[in-house]
Amino acid sequence: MVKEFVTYEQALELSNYGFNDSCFGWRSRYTSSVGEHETLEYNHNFTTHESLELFNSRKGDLPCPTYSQAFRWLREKHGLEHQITYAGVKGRYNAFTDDWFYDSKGELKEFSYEEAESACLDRLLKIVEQK
Amino acid sequence: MEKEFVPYDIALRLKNLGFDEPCFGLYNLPEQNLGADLKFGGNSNKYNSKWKFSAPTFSQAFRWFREKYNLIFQINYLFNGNYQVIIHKNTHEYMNLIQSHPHSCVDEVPDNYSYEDAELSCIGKLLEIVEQKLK
Repeated sequence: MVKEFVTYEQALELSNYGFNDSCFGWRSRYTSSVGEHETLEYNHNFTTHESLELFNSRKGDLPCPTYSQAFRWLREKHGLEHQITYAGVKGRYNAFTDDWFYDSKGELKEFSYEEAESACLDRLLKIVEQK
Repeated sequence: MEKEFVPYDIALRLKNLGFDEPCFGLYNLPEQNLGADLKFGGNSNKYNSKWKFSAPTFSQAFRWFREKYNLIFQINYLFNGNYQVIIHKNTHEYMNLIQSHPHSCVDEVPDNYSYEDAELSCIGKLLEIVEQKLK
């Protein structure tokens, strides 16, 4: 289930760019004497939109969308697309947003599916920032 | 938020194939006459009552097909604004089933084929492949 959710930085950027849909997850970041900590919590016992909204407004927490929600928002709100394609090797994928992702040798970069999702989202957020 | 979740019939077919991961949504079985509306507050099919079953998101279901059945598929954006579903023939275990389709691309792409249409078509094909395999 954890794999479904965007990272703290991505959730923060999405929030800064106006993403305010209800989310099933929330991330918190706090500092203790031994360093900085980050948590992801999610709840699958919500029953209504209202309770979700209430939870999402809990002070100090950052609503955390799923990758799918984030990509849908970018598609619908900003017209931004991405594509994750099979690289021909089991478990490896190439990724495309406004261009393909390349490695240092200039070849198509290979990712796990989750890495590809994250790389696409990072680049799409950069595009939104530049807009 | 509702767009994230697979529809009732797909959720039921996933349950029948053994999908039992924790979910954020659930459906009631029709025998209970509670309607088939999506409710938030899901659980794993392992723990749901016999009258309820989990409603996974498309993303969860796709991940399940990738990880459990090693199926390889993708939704491509076509620059005319439509989307296309591709299920790769080098999904080795299922090659014979997939080869019954004329191309590795299993979709005709009609006009106004939205991302949601593509998701639905893709998951329908994946279910068909696994259901045939398990027959």
